[in-house]
Amino acid sequence: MILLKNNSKSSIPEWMAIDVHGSIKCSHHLSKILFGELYKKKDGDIVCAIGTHILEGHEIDLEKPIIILKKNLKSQYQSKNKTEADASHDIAAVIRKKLVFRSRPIMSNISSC
Amino acid sequence: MESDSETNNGTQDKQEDMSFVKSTAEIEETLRLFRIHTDNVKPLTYALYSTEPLDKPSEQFMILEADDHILKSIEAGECVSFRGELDEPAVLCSGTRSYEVKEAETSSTCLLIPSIDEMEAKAGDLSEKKMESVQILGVYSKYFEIRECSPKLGKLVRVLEPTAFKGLEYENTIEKSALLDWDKVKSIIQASDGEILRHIPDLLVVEMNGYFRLISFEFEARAVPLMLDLLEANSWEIDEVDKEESYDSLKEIIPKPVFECLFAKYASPSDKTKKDGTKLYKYDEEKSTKLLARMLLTGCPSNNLSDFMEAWQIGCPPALKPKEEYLYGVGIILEDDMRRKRVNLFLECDLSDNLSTRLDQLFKAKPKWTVKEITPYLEKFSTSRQDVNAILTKFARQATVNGERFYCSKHGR
Repeated sequence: MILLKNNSKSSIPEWMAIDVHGSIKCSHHLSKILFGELYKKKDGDIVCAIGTHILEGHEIDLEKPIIILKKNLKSQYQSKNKTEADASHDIAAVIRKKLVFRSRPIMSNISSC
Repeated sequence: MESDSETNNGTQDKQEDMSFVKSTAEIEETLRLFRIHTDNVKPLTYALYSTEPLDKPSEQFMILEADDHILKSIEAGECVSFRGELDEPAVLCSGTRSYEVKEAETSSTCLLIPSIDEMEAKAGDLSEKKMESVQILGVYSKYFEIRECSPKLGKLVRVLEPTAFKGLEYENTIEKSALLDWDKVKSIIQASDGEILRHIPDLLVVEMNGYFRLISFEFEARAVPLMLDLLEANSWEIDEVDKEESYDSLKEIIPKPVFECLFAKYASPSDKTKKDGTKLYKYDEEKSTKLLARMLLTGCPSNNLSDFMEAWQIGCPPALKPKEEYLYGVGIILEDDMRRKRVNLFLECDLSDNLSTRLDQLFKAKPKWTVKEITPYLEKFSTSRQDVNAILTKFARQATVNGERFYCSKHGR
């Protein structure tokens, strides 16, 4: 039995997801990389700038909440020796909203900024 | 955009997170280049950065698409857990519901960030544009989705079989280490606590001295006739069964939890009460006679129907009247070439748990069934969405003979 443990004292932290089409490729693995910038318009639309590309999108409410579980690797390892009831996953956050982009990225007319 | 050189220097402290953050003037310049009107953009803007490569899913997280019931249970501090043993597909259980867990994949990549709505609320009113650095906390494209399912309780009977209660005199032959307590049952049975506790009486499972025990058929077949014999011994009417007195007369043979479970299965409160107001009970005619029929058929699996009916009535207390239809589920009535009717032992619990195999077994044993006859054999496959009639419509062929409706094999002769 693996228990879903809620350690947060008040409410579960709320995160959100950014849904980008396809997969992300990183050409270099630095200790810290900038992915992009987010601008929120007053009408609620979102602009995401990645390099010289712009993605336009908006926030949607998810039909079902998504729970982010942090795998408790230590307790899983211990469970082999101890009773299985010790295994647990911590609840890291809940997601109720997602940013989605409606169109293909637009190339802005700048090469650098 | 920033050049990479900016990220190369420095320590790993919070200060360095600021390296991606633009000044107000830089934000406005960027918006101008993107041809976005500055006035249309909210003051708080965000720089998304990551300390982990973004082309790999984060291993530390498991993404679970839940539903409102699960989320509310977690928020209320109730126990929500994955149950089952390592070789079984995972089942997620709340206090009252069970869900199958399946892996799903999206074609897109999802980045996890803290809620920007919350950040916006925290920042309050800003007079000019400001950029905040936001760490990407994880990446995923695969996740788990859940679908509510019926509790998987079949295993409970299977794991309790070796330690089944056969009678007090056999108790010292039961290996104590093989007995299962509540914690053990919870960890290996893929069903919620509420569902387990609600369904165990139907499975004839009781809690005795802290352990869960199955009542064996042998013991049921011994105890119930003793209970029924009390009708005649005390000259009770069929609906005047005194529960207290029944237990008192039999407590040497039947332990309390076992008696409670069997009594609940075979008897229900009647309209009558004792003089002091305590409830009186009535034995269920169908269930009681069915058990006696099963005992007779177990002893002698094939009988001439009229001989059997006679023997069955003799075996039953005079107040209980066996009927042919009470045989459904334990025996089948077949006609031979000479149109003589026979009854054969045919137990529901001996058939396959796989619906299509079971239908094959049923139509092999008897080509034509009425709905009433076949229902006890298919009941366990019926759900709120698909009742026995729906199963038959889907998997069998309907035929009408002399105005009576029958079902036969879809692919049969």
